[in-house]
Amino acid sequence: MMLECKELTKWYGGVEAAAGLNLDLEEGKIYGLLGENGSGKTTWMKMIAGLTKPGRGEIIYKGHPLSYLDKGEIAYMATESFFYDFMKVSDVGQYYKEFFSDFDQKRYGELTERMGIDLSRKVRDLSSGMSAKVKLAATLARNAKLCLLDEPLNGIDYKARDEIVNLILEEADGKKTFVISTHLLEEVESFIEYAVFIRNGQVIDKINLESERMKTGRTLGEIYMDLM
Amino acid sequence: MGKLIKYEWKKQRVSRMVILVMLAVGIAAFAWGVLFDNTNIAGICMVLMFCGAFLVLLYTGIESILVLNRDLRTKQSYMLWMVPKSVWEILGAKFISAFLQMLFAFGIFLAAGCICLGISIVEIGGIRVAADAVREFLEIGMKIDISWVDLVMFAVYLFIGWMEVIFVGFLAVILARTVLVNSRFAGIVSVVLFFVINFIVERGYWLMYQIPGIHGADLPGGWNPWDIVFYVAAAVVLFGISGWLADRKLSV
Repeated sequence: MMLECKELTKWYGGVEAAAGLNLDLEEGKIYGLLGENGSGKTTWMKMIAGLTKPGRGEIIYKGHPLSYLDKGEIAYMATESFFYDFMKVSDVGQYYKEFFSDFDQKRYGELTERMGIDLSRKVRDLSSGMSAKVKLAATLARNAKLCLLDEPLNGIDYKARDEIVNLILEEADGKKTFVISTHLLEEVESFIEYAVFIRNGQVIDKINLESERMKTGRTLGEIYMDLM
Repeated sequence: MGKLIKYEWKKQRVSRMVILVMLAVGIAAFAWGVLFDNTNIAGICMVLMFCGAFLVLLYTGIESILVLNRDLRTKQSYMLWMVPKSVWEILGAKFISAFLQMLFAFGIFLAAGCICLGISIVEIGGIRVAADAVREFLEIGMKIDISWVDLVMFAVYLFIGWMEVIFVGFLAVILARTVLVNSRFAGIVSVVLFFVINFIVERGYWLMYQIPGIHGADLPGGWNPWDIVFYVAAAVVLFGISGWLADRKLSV
């Protein structure tokens, strides 16, 4: 297993965002993380990305307890814009280059160009959609072993969604593991291999979509409605 | 850690620009006073710049604490905590950046003082005239008697003591943002904690002076080397607690 999460718990005030969450990820697979708002998807991603500490439980990455050094192999794209106000789009690339040895600045340039983003623009002046594209470009330009994308299609116009899905598929080379949190089931159904369903801070099911289709012929939306 | 310091340094660049502009205006006004034989203007400018140096030193320290608070409160914190660096390196970079920022403020005001003295030497024919202008302003205008040694010692003392206060501020913010994470009262709580921790540290300082022989080590200007030992030790303890808390509890 590439990643093993054992009995993760996390409380925010009086809310239990993770309630004994167990989840294992295999290397090179594409996972869809599905669940209602507040179900614990983002909390789980933030725990793996090292942005929040689990109250209890254990995260094992490649056989050892997750450490800050593993952030060098784990890329995380948050839903919110998080770049420093003073940065231009080109500065974001420079920042990633300075801190992540797996970052490919040439690739970042290509991705921003494909998405029609001007490198000289200040990130604070970008629309939410454009900002999302910058976040995605920076995240995908890393050759990270584990890529966590928190609602990457949120705020993205319909035409650009296809482009983003194509970009993800280009990067999914069978060696990188992707976890994509989303509410847009139709958009991801065609390329995710496993659907992980989260409710009330717990994984309630992990389904191999190909097997499920062969077995029952149900769509992802139908499975979601049955489970949630 | 150098890269982390670089980005921390960038966060306070607006303040540095404002300080530089204000200093430039001060120097220009001083030069005008000297050129047109207006000792009042020249003296007032020097005094304002001198007082400004202390105020700016205090402000840059407080701003470092505010930057940490903003980093933990907003999503910009992801930029810090998602990089493969330990909590100790990240906090260390913040402390060093705060120190450098204060050193910068101290340095540019020192440079401004040198420029003013240079102008005095060239235009009036001596440092004494400029110094007399300041002395005259303070002694006659504000009834203050100046001892230059005291002022220098006071500056050194303030610099070291203020660095320790920044450590207190950092701990207060981290404590508020870990124990009361996501609480909208965390900002107010951090202010309260700041004063509480400061009180505890100052209580420790008072206790240190109960040790026999501590008073006897006084140097000119009322400065005691044990003060430095105390504040450095306090800073180490505060940094240790801040790092420990951030490493185990911090959620951004």
